[in-house]
Amino acid sequence: MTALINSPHFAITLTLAAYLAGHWIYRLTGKPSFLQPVVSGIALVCLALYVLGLDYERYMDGAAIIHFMLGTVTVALALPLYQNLKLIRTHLKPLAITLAVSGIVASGTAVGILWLTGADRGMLLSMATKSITTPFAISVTETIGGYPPLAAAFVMVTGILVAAFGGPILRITGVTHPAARGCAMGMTGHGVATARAFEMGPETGAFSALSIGLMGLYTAVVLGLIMP
Amino acid sequence: MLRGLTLILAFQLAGLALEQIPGMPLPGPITGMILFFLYLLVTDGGFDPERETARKLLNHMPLFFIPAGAGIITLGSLLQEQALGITLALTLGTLVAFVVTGLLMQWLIR
Repeated sequence: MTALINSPHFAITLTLAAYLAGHWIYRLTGKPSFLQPVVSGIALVCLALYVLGLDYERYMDGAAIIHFMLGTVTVALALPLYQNLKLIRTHLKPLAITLAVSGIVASGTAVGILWLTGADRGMLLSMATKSITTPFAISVTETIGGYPPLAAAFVMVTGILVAAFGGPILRITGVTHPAARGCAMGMTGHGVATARAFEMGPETGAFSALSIGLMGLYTAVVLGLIMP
Repeated sequence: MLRGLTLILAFQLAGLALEQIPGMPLPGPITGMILFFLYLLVTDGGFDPERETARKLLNHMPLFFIPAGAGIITLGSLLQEQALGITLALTLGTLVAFVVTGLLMQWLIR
């Protein structure tokens, strides 16, 4: 029995089943953004590990192929970036300036606040990637020396906050231009908030989708250069 | 499907190879993405096999976060110790970045 639980068969099946169950829960509850399939998927895997008394390292060994594919799906992100490229040409200068400022503010404010409360270095590095898409955040944190699971959790919470409160805040602050709304949603709330941005309109959604790739690349390059 | 996957894996491998260069600031998968992006530019959008494979992978992107994400189970005490700072950083930090981004982009466009 122990040998079975420690086999890749178990880890891979558990991961896929947890993901599918996460989808099912998401649909059944009316798709609230805080119940993203990945959130309940991760919770279900943790629950199974806890109940079965299985080491996380053992599980990760078994599920290594799925973690490997995270790199593959990161490469695949070139496709949506390419498809939204024409938007860059129409708003090149505003996009470049907004991206440059937004990246520094998004990482800087969060890391700064955390630093003021006395967090350790690993924790600070895990917070720096909070506004970029999860696969980027995980590989960047692995490289610069943070805790990838924390980075993934911070990314999810950030995306959920932006998806939930982004619309009302845009209204209060008087941001009405679809390109500006899309940038705010995508640059700070990555893929999770982009799903919400598409509900605001196709142009807002397209700018949000483009922003995911731009923000991810920009943050990865800056962090890679200042944290060798 | 298989042809597309092979091509995408080749870009992932090339990214990993470039990661070995000293001073390379980017993780392998991100370099791989840039290479795939350049390929799409050069070939004017690539071809059906790799486009279809990329779309299929992206449809289930969250699945691939689960093994890394579940590592949170080992970090519970760290989260508890620094809960206040984390909460403030995530809420205030996100609010500031969101408002700045929206207002700045709108101001620059007009």
